[in-house]
Amino acid sequence: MKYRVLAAIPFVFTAIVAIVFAMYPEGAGRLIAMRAEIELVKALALIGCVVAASSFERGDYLRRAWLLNGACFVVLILRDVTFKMSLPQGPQLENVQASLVLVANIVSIAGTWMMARTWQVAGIDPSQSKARIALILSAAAIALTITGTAIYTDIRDATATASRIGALEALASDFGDVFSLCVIAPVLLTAWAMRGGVLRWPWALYTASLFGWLVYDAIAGVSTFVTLDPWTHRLAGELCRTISCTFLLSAGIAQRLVIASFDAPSSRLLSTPPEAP
Amino acid sequence: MTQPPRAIADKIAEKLAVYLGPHTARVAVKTFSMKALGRGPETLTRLDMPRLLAALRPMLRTFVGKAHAETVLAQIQEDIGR
Repeated sequence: MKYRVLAAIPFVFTAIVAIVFAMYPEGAGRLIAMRAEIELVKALALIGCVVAASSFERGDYLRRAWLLNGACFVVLILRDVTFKMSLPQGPQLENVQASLVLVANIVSIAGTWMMARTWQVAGIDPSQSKARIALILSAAAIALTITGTAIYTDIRDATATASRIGALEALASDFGDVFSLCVIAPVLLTAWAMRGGVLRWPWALYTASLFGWLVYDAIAGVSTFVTLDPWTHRLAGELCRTISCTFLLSAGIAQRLVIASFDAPSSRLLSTPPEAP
Repeated sequence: MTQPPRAIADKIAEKLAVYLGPHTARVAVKTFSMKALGRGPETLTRLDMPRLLAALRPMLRTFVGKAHAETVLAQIQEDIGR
């Protein structure tokens, strides 16, 4: 039951965010609400990653993976708080901002890569079936197709506009997304393989978070071909960001709950009555 | 009374299934039985338990961490190995 509640949280939270945005149809209030939403959901994602990492001990594989996922949000929040909300804008500072986005994407890639490789690291099934490889490659191709449009747009902007730093920042983000989305299939397959076990929950929720980012990039791609009202486009993107970040929060809490179930004496999930001799 | 080998494999898989799900639990027992003992789960006896559990340790550590892997293994040993 508690895991189902965790799965529902992102939808409820996203609905609340949509209602809040609807209350600010235009003006400064809308921008303030959006900035607050962006920082809040990044903070929630960070909390999820920290909660999950704290379930493990130093040296544990998934502790490192969760910490790397969380480090991305630390850097992004630092960037937002210092540059977007405090310091004045300028070319020098734009370089620093772009560098921070690059760092955030590198650690995000590392964290997602570790999550995707967990199945191999565990060594449960060393054989890579043809179907599994085909699924992973197909998913990577779909992810590339979706994010490729965003990359094309940002490369075009980087070469054609005066604001190259902004476009390069977006490009760093695009490449981070491409990589993360290309590894959706291995993460999804891990969640699927765990069906029927409690560990499926953190994996399924983590997969849902990645899917949210896939849709986020798909929306950016759609805007290349279809003329969208800028606010509608932005709103759709922000709702995707909200659902992705809150799914990460839920995944982190689910990871914590699963691990905590080992410690609860009453839950002794593994124990069975002794057999008759 | 000596348990039939298949029953031992099934029981270990059943314990692991709570966390890993039945499919992965069965695959894990089969994979690590082959890896550690060089034979299938249908041949497992209680004497094979320590080696099989040692082989399962890295896999469990990856998914649930060092400390909790030991909890799971100790529990399996306690429930099935007696």
